[in-house]
Formats: sequence, structure tokens, C-alpha cells
Amino acid sequence: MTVTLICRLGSLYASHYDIFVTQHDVLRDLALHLSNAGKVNRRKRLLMPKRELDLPGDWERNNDEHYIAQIVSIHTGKCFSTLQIFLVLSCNNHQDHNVGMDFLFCFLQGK
Amino acid sequence: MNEMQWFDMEFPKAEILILNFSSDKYVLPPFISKMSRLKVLVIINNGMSPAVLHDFSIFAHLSKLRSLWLERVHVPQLSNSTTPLKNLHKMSLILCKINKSFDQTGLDVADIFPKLGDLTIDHCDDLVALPSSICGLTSLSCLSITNCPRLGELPKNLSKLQALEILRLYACPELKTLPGEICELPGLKYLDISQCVSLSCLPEEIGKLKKLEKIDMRECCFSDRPSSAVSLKSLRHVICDTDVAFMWEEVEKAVPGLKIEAAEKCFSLDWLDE
Repeated sequence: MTVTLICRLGSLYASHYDIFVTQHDVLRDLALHLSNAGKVNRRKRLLMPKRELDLPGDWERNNDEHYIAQIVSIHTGKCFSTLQIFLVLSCNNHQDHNVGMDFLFCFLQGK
Repeated sequence: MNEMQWFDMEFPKAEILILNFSSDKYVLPPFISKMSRLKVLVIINNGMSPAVLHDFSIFAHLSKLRSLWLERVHVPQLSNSTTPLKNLHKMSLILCKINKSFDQTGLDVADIFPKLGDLTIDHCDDLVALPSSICGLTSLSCLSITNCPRLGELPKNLSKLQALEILRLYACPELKTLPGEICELPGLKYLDISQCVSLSCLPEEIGKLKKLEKIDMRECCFSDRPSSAVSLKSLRHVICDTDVAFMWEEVEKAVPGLKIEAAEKCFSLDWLDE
């Protein structure tokens, strides 16, 4: 895991825009593996494991039933040879934010 | 993605949606309009040029949306008929083309974003002057306009942002002056103007900022500081270059608890290896 720190960090007024964590290789695979277990409709996080031209076939095959996912990540466009997961840390203090304590969103990004 | 590629899906519990694509045109998925619980929407284009988003009218259904992140897209034109995002607290426009989105005559941005507390505009290279309509966002407590290479001017009515506590303007090399109106922001706690290499001074009446706690002014080419700075009673921390630290000595004596941190200039190409 690579944590990128910018010199503004650590101070009281540092922006969480300046903080990001990259998860790659084995940890990325593990995160995907843990998220992608079970039936697609029942997953709490619905992530596309790699960039594709269309939505995955098993999403379409199951779309007669609703999806319970709280986090949905859709990844389309041109194909890239390598992929990374970005975990964006949330320092969001809004009281009614009840999705995830430690990080707010986890998304796939082709680089 | 075009319209034909989307099929209908139901996400009654979705709170976060991340759309990641690589294209210069993108049709937003129609099923967003049914995501009635959506709080966070992240739209990221990894293509080479900013994408035009289609069917932004879908946003009319997102009454619970709290946070919106747009990256490398054309910011859609706002007008007084734009459906308000009543719960939007935070908006981040990264690597975007701002175009004339905020510039329409008579546009009341506060009507569209009545609760916006945090606005970030970063790496937007077409931003030449910050639209004055942004000063209508009276709920803003944090405004960050950073890494905007062509930004030369801030609006004169900035003092309308009476709730503002954090103002980050770092790395805007064309910004030549800070309007004196900044000194009329009673709650301002933090001012970051580091790497604004064209700025030559702080506003004369900076001493009026009784709540100002911290100034970051690294890599600013200041030759002087306003004499009123000795009245900055809450000031606790100034970060500046070593060669200008002496300017603050008098303020350090007048304001108990003030720490002047002289930052070493650090030029490195290490980041190229990452």
C-alpha cells in the first residue's frame, strides 16, 4: 500500500483532498475478493473489478431483482493494462454520515 | 457509455456511486434518478480531454446528495432554473473546465446550493477570474481555489462570505493581489497563499482578522508585511520562507504564543520516480 503524504499534512487545517491512499497488487486483489463474494444483488459493495466497455453480464442477468449495494463503482471506457484501487480517506465529520467509519469510498481507477 | 449501453437497475440502498470512465462524452446512467438515498456522487474521467456529461437533469432527483466530485469534465451550465441541490455540503471540481457555468447574469448560486459549506476548485486551467456569483454562497465555511495556473483575480465582494473560516489559494501563480475585502471575513481562521509567486503583499488591513490563527505563505515573494499584522491577536502560526521570517519578528513580540516557522525551500525531483 502506498500512502502519499503532502507537506501540508499533519496540520490542523490540512485538507483531506491532499490525502490519498493507493492500494495495489495483492492488497487490491484481496479487497476485490472480499467485496465480490456472493450473489451480485446481495453485495454491500458492488464493484467492477476491471475496466470494461459495458456493465458486467452478471449485473444484467440479475437485474430483475434489486441490488442492496450501498457503494456502487462503475468502471467503463477504454481498456487499460493495469488497474489500481483508490481508497479515499474520509475525514468527513458530518454527523449523519453513516456509510463506513474509516473510509468513505473505494473505487477502481485505471492508470 | 451511451444511452443504449445502460440497462435498468434498481439500487434502493445506494448511498455512494462512483462513475469512472475514459471518454470525452458520457451519458449519466438513467438509474441514478431512482437512487433516492444517494449521498455521494463521484464522476471521474480518465480520458485525455474533459468530458461533456449528458443528461445532467438527472440531478433533479438527488435531493439527499451531500457530496459531489467532478473530475476532468465540463462543469454543466447553471441557471436559475437548475433544480436546487438542497443538501449538498461539499463540491469538488478537479481538472475541470469551469467554462461560464457560474457566470450567467442574475444567477443566484445560493438558491441552487443553499447548504454548500465546502467548495474546492483544483487544477482548473480555464479559471481566469473567480466568478463573483460564488460570493453568494453565504454558507461556505471552506473555500479552496488551488493549482489554477491562470487565476488572476478574486472577486471584490468576497466579504459576503461571512461564514468563511478556511481560505486556501495555494499555487495560483498568476494571482497578483488579495482583495482588501478578505479582511472583512470575521471568522477567517486559516489563510493559505503558499506558492502564489506573483503576490507581493498581504492586504493592508489584515490586522482586522481577529480570529486568524494560521497563515501559510511559503514561496511568496513578499518584501514587506502590513503594520496592522501586530493586531492579529489569535495568530499562532506563520509558515514562511527563511529569508522573509525576519518580517514577523515584531509581530512575534506583540502576539503571545505566535510561532514563526521558516520553511526550508525544498526543490526535488523525487516525485518523478513514483
